[in-house]
Amino acid sequence: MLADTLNQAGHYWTYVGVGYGAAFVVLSAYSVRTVRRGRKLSRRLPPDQRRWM
Amino acid sequence: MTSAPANPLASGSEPDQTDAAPVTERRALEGTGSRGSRIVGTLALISLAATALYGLVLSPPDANQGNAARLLYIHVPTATVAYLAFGVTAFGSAMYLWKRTEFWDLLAGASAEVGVVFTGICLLTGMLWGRPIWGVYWVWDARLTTTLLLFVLFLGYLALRRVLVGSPSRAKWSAVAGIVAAVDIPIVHYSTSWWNTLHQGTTISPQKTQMGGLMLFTLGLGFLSFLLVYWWLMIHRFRLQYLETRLDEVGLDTAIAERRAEAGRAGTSGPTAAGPELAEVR
Repeated sequence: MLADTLNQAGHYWTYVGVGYGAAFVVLSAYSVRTVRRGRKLSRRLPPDQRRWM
Repeated sequence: MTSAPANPLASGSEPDQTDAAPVTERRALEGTGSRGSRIVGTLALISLAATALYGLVLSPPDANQGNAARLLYIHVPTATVAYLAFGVTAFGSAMYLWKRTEFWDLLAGASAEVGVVFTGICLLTGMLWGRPIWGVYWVWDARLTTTLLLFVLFLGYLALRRVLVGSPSRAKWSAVAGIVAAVDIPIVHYSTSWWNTLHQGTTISPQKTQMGGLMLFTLGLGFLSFLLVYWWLMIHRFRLQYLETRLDEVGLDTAIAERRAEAGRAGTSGPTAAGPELAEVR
């Protein structure tokens, strides 16, 4: 109801909010997944095989 | 690889030095992070927060599109970074076919995955922008269709890499697929010039810029922040891919050693006759 009212008034804040929110959620989820998987896999290799350390 | 000091695939096989280290020190030794990646990550977070602040609060609404135009500050930078990511994949693929070194294959694979994430965000924000302005979330317009095709092509590229895990020809065929898929990048970019599209044409170019002041600054900030995010993600994804490859190799070596040990056991009657191979597996 509030979204319709705002959008009819030409503000379009709902679309903007969902767009920004979705972008940051997707990026955060992918980042967390990548970092956690990296931590998990790196435990299975000795540090001398992780050349960036 | 069989010369590794211990089997890293075995559970609880962390090196002795990390077992003895305190938890905080151990966490610092783990993962794909480094001092450089932490600096890039911090800069990316700060610039993303600034983009959100300028995009949602400080920049003015557009005269024609109102607040819906605020999606521009995410949509256009993510599209550009996706072009860059797939361009890096194509370059890495071509370099792999030339040099045949693992680095270029890992670079191409990591960049393709990050590019797919950015293309997904670009498509999503584009649909959310299209609904209030065009009245629909999606039209089979040349720009939208070719962008969706780009997304699907690189999903296929990633699927190919997964299907061919362990195969010696994976890098070669992935490189060929990466180059073929990247042919769509210029088609996406010039689609608004080549065909009549509902999607608007170029807003910013060296010849003409239909935007000014704070809106242009905010868009530039968006470009910077998503570039930093791409850089940070690439560091981690590249290292993760490196770890995955090393573990695949170790897994293969372990399987071969086990198979040899089984063959040794089958061919001899006594346990001592199995020799050093069996001792290595144990």
